[in-house]
Amino acid sequence: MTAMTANLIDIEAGSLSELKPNVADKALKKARYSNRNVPDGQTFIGSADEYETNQKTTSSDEQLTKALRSTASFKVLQEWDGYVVSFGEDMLVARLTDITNAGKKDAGEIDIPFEELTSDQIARIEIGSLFRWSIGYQLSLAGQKTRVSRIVLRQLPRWRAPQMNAAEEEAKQIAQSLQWA
Amino acid sequence: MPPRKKRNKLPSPYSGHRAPELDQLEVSLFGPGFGECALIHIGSGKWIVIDSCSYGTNESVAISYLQDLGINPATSVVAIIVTHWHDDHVRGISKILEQCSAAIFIAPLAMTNKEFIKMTLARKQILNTAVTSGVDEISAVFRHLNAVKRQTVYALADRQILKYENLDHKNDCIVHSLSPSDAQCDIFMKDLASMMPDINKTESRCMSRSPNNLAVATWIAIGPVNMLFGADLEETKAIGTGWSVVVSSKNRPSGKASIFKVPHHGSENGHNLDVWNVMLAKDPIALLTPYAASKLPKSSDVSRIKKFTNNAYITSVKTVNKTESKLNPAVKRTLKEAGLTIRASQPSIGHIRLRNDGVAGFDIWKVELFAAAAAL
Repeated sequence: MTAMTANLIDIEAGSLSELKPNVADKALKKARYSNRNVPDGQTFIGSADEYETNQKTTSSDEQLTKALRSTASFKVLQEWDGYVVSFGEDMLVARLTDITNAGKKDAGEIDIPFEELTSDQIARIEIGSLFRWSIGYQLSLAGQKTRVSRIVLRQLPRWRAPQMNAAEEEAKQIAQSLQWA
Repeated sequence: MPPRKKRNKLPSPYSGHRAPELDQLEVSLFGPGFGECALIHIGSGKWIVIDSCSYGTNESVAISYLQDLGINPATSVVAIIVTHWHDDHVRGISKILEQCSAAIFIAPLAMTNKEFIKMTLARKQILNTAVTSGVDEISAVFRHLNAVKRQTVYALADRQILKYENLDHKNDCIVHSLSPSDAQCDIFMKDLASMMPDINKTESRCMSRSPNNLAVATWIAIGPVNMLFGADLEETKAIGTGWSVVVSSKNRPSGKASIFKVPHHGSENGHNLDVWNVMLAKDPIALLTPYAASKLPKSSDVSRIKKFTNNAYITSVKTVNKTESKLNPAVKRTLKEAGLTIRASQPSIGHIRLRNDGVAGFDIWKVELFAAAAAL
């Protein structure tokens, strides 16, 4: 048994969605459009849209208790944003971007065995899927320090019609303005 | 307090190097870093850039190289050719376009289509992720073209795209695009529909589709010297596509190329026997870049290329490097315990430089290898 605990949290199943609405609302105010630590030590990664998507998941008191007990704080040592380049029956290949060490953007590639993911995550994997991978120390309320690796499959917002309409208008204008030699 | 030590800047590998003479030709191939880039001095201080790559940062290798030689990119680069939009060919291209203010911009016709532009603009910004893609660069290119009204030329099969007359070596330089074919453009436009964001789906990174139906193969003729830059043009099973169409075309430029940028990182898909037999001179100088993500070139690819020429060079010997040396020790332990290895997505960058002897020896080439470049 290694010292590492593979703590794979999917946003839908594991973080803010497990908090009571009032707690989550406070957290949202702090976390909106940025990556901030929310009061219970969980890290919410993503936008308000993502939060709203995730909030639709029904939470239970039992889950809330479990979540609050599990973690007092999480100190990030290293984080990457990544996307899925390809996947097979038992693993995926991902390309990573380092977001801890500024200036070294292309961190490299990695093969991630599916055993590192939950079945729900595996079901949602597509080529181009985005995720955030964090390695750090988790401190429980009981004072236990554990080295943790978390892969959060991003639940990004849907493409929106206004976004598409704006792109359409700008594209039309650019295409018409090209100066053919 | 002791005086702070000055940090010595690493010497450029080109310190002491001079720009080519006005009658001298140069072909430089950089890669992979992140992508590949070719720079061609066609004479008279005029340079053509084909694609772009960066190393470590988003800075363009081509711009750095020109500046190291004391060349002003703003006045010296006359054309920028983007062969296709994939991330490994366009990293830094928007900065090249901005800095090379006198250059004509050339891209495949389909890339100037309104629907393609719309796709890049719509997909450009994904909230809260550091992940980038080729569409980020290309959308920046379109916005720059729109802002400065730069001259643009589209590339298609058998199209003369550039001509420069009476250069210092007393020859003209004529540039043709050899692809994509009409059939490839048609396939690409159909593929484009599937790349367009769907408002019923969540945001995701834009991924390229295979095979590449957009790649611009480029033929550069400078007097008696012909060069073929194969981009990522592949052979496919679809009728009217790939190298077969290029070779069989009656409208492509005549002559045989003595310098060949091997297509698609030397892959089997990019190989066409008739290209070697019909379009290339005997024992041409073959140049290629590796692509680690697809583990190209394979050893079988290297063997195949070496059967056709004794003058093959690669910008970087294919190695898979670990990239974990700068990580926190606890992070390294975590990776080790889980049996995970982060490997470099691209091996170290290298540079192959060919220079001829100018008018004294127009077809006599000197090969220089820098950094990770090696003979194949």
